[in-house]
Amino acid sequence: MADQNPYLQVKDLRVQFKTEDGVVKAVDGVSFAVERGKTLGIVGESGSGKSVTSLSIMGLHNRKRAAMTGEILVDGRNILNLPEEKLREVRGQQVSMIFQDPLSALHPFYTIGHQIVEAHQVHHKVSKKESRKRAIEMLDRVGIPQPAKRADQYPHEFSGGMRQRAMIAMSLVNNPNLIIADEPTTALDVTVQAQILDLLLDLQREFNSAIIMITHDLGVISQIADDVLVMYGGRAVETGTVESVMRRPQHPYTWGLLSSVPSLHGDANEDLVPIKGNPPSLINLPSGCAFNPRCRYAMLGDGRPCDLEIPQLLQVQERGHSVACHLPEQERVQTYQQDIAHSGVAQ
Amino acid sequence: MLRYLIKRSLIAVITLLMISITTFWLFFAGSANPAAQMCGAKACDAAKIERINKSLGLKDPIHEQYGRFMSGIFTGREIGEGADAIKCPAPCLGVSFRTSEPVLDIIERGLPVSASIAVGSAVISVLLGVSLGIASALKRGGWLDKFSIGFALTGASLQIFFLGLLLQMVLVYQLKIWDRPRYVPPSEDFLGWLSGMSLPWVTLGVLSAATYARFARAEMLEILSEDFVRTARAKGLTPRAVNIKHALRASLSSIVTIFGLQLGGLLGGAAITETTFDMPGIGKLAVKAVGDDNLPIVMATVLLAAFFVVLFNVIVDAMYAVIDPRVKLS
Amino acid sequence: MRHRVRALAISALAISLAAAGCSKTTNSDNKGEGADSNKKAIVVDKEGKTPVPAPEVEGARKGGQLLILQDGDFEHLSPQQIYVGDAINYGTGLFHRTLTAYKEPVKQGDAIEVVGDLATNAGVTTDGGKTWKFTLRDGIKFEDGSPITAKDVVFGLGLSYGKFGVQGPQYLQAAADPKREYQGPTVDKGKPVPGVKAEGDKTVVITLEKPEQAVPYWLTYPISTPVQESKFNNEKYETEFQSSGPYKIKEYKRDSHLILDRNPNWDPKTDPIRHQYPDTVKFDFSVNRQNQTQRVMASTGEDAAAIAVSDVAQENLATVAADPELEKRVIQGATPYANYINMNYDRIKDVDVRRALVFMYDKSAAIKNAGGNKVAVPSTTLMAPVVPGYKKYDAYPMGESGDVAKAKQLMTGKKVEKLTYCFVNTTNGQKAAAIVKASFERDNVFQVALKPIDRKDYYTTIGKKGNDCDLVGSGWGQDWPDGESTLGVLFDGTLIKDEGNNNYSYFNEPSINAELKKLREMTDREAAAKAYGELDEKIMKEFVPVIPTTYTRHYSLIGTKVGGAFLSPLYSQVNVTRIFVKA
Repeated sequence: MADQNPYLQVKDLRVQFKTEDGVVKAVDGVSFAVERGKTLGIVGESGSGKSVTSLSIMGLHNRKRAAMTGEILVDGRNILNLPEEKLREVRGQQVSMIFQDPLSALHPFYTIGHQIVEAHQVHHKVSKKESRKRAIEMLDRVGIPQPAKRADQYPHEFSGGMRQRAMIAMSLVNNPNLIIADEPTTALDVTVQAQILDLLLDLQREFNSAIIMITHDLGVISQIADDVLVMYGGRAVETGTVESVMRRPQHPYTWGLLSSVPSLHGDANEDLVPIKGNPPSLINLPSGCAFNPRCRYAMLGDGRPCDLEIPQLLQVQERGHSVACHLPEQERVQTYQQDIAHSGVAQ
Repeated sequence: MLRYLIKRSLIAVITLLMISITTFWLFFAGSANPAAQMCGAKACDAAKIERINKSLGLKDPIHEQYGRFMSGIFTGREIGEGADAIKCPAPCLGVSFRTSEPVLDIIERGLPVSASIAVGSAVISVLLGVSLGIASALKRGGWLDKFSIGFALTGASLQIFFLGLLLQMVLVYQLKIWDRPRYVPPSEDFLGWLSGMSLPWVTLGVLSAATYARFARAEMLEILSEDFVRTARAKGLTPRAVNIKHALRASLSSIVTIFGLQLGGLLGGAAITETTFDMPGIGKLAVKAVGDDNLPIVMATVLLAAFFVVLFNVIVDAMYAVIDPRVKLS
Repeated sequence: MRHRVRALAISALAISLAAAGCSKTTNSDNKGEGADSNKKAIVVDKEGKTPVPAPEVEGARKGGQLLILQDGDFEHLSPQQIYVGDAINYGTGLFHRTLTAYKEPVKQGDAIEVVGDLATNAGVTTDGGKTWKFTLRDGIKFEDGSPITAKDVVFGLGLSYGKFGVQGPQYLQAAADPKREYQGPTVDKGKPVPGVKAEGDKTVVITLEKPEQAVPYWLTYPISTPVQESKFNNEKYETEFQSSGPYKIKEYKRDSHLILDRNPNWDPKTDPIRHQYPDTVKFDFSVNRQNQTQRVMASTGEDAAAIAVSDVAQENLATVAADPELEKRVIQGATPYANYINMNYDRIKDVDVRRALVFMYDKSAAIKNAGGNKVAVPSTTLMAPVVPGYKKYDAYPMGESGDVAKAKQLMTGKKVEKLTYCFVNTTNGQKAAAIVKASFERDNVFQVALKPIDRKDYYTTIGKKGNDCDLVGSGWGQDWPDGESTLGVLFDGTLIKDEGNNNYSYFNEPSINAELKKLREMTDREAAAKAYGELDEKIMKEFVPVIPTTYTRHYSLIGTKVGGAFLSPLYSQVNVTRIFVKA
């Protein structure tokens, strides 16, 4: 993560929306970076700010509604300062996005081919014919049989998996350097999920692009990502390599996430433990550590810090691994060791 | 497609048949007494009522009268007896109780008037309403949006018989800056037609535009929050392409539905419009016929109104299939 | 005769009761409208003295277009079907001549004259009214130039017996053919028309089983309009008839407009009534009451020569009445329509109770409800002011909203059951009912139960002898200008049948029945008229079968360029026989 020239660098990003009920602090001081050829997984429950972050990178927020501060450097350019026309050049060309539900993300009235051609033509001054050739090539590349015929079909005529492949083909038609995949496999069944992830990894290797994988599914992260960023209440609570975060998580929230995921290798009868309570309101975040009302280990009362101070994201002993938690590092390590002794969540 | 059309036509015929039976039955079950009506406001002696009833064919059982009416539509018939009989070729809708004139002739006179009002005001209302609705959805919260919301609210709460009379009073009779509403056939005097129809068009058009504006705005806002619009923006398309090619195209099917149903139903609403503007169309005809207990005209206008509703339903369905590839007619 | 508005609204009673004005109405003298009792009540021109051609109208000029603004087409213009007032007025005034006709007085209150129109005089009878002889004038022609003969008149009258006259008046037909077997010349081909025959080309003879003094009046209806058998087309008769009057059809588009131009074959020297001043007369059938008022008020362009057929719209009444310039252009006055609340003579037997009810009724409320004193004034008599022989009297003087104290006095020591007021269940009927209930229940003098009747059954129900209505509202307009057509129809107990009565109070007094019989048979109608006026007062003073409520007034506008217009007292329309368009 400490690369000198990461393709994407997000620095202290804050995104706020003014609503009638108050100011929504959707993202509150998040920083991270992704290199080409690498994959960053962003994990969190809904409302944790992960999707807002990704839309900020695409510059898709309405600037009149969303107040954004910090920096988002794409290939060294801060897109927060880019005018709309310049932004459009970035979108779809350098950074592209794969959405969660391809059925609703694809236009129902246009053929798949048409939609891919359109994506290509925006950024290439070539003939329609050439764009179509390119579209069919891409469909073929993502593994859609009879691509020329399928190009003339509508999204509703595709199966779920095929639709997501088509969506990927559309996102990759311009060879983007950064792909943001927002829950790309959530709407799909498990076998198809694996195929799609394989395809993404495949393509990443081929084009050497950076990927941000947004998901609430740690299983997906462990399969595909190099680094992980865990978000809660609009803030980063833990970040590090997959290896370190998944094996030696140090934030109680990450523990909660891990224990709510069925393990592929675990006992089928093992209890899944959901995290108690609900994600916090982004208008009225709990004081101190946003996670403290749901945290089993919160240190409260008598001037103890969890509901008083926002914990800093601090590097732990392990290299590249940071955690924002008031618990002393040693205690965190011990507690987790005891926990997995009981349940064997992490393998 | 053909199968579908055949099926829909069959359903339409059955619908119209049911409506005709209901209307016929309601007419006799309700408070209608055409012969007494024709006697005026005096107690008629029984002999005169009987003679009138006989001349109208009202003495026979209802089902026989209904049978005669319906068969007349398909085969034509002779109305009256012997030397006084009037030939009424198919499709015969009977003759007016009041004037003995074939109903079809009467309808033929009124239809161009009603059609002129309907089509002209529909064009204005769609153009104005849809563009206003879309513009306000795109500039949500801006002055245009605020204006459009106000316009939609005002329009929805104003009634044609209020605004229509007011505009006539002020523009036509007091300020004398607008031509008074009247119908001249466009084939005879095209400019006169435009000028005479303009006030009904504008009034009705602007009022229904309010409905369209509200609807188009809501529809457009919903579409703009759809995932595929976000996708379009994520592709790097210009706002223009996003709004028109993606968002507007998607909201088209609902707008067409409303348009079709409204146009089909306009004949039903023509009663108020035509009475307000004093236009001799089907609506005014129907109102008078109901007051006169003039059954053949009541039947004809009800059936005609129902026919248009059914027809435009089919048209809207067919349009759906054209607009939305997900819809298949079957 | 049917009144257009009433015919459309069916609830005459509703309108009649609703038809009435303002509590400030103080002119119970009716502004001197109606017959003047010092003058002749009616003139019947038996000798044919009425001058032909009709004397020129002062200031009249030829030319121009007269525009008539009307809400809806005429129901019928084929002559034998015509029965509604507007069609009679315009039809006979412009293109349908008749055997006899009324020459209406230009000055209100002057006598109506019954004159010969196609005939040389108003009819001659030598046997007390069983046989009537009419001689046609020389030089009368149809619009195609062919002479009008007695045969054409007989054919026209024949049509009135059958399908082509079924909606028209039936008096003559019923008198001549009581069993009504004859179905008209199109069905009963070749058979003689009952009671009607042509003697030569010039004479029409009417023969009845019993003497009828009203024959000259009945023939003023266009049932006697001549029709050429050779040109009769049963399918197009409504729109393609031959004119015999000063104007003929140039263009007739049903429900849209009717344009008339001069009939070159009409000879003024044969016509004692009509003139032919405007070049054209155009009817515009698609102008509702509001727009008629607005257009004629503005009186610009062709509207300057326009006549509004409907009364001034209610919302403009005050404006027009307050503007002297506008009121100059108002044609207003008394009409044949009078309104009553009938008190069932069999159910409310005590004359003092009936008198008390008269005192209780609030006429001012009814007038207010009708739209004010321009369109309705309080009434005290049975006959409307335009009925020949109308006598102005007030048997029960009181304020316009009644006299509760007088009523109480009359009711001292009497107890009356709750009274049932029957009304037609329409908006207007309900309004009228509310006024009735509020009036009679003042100080708890009476209790009123309201009984709504469906409009379909209304006249059948109240026309049924022995019905259970104590009080019922109704309106009446005479069918011909003679007391017989009011008192003789409404108050003759011998006419009461089981069903279809017009005598809604079921008034039946032998002395009055006898008097009515005597008057009916009088050959001198001018003398009879005065006697009807006396009888009217006698009935109200002694028997009180009805509460007179209001007389309906006419109040319509004409454009600035319309000349020669005056109110037709018989049809409550603008008389167009002397009309011209000012330069």
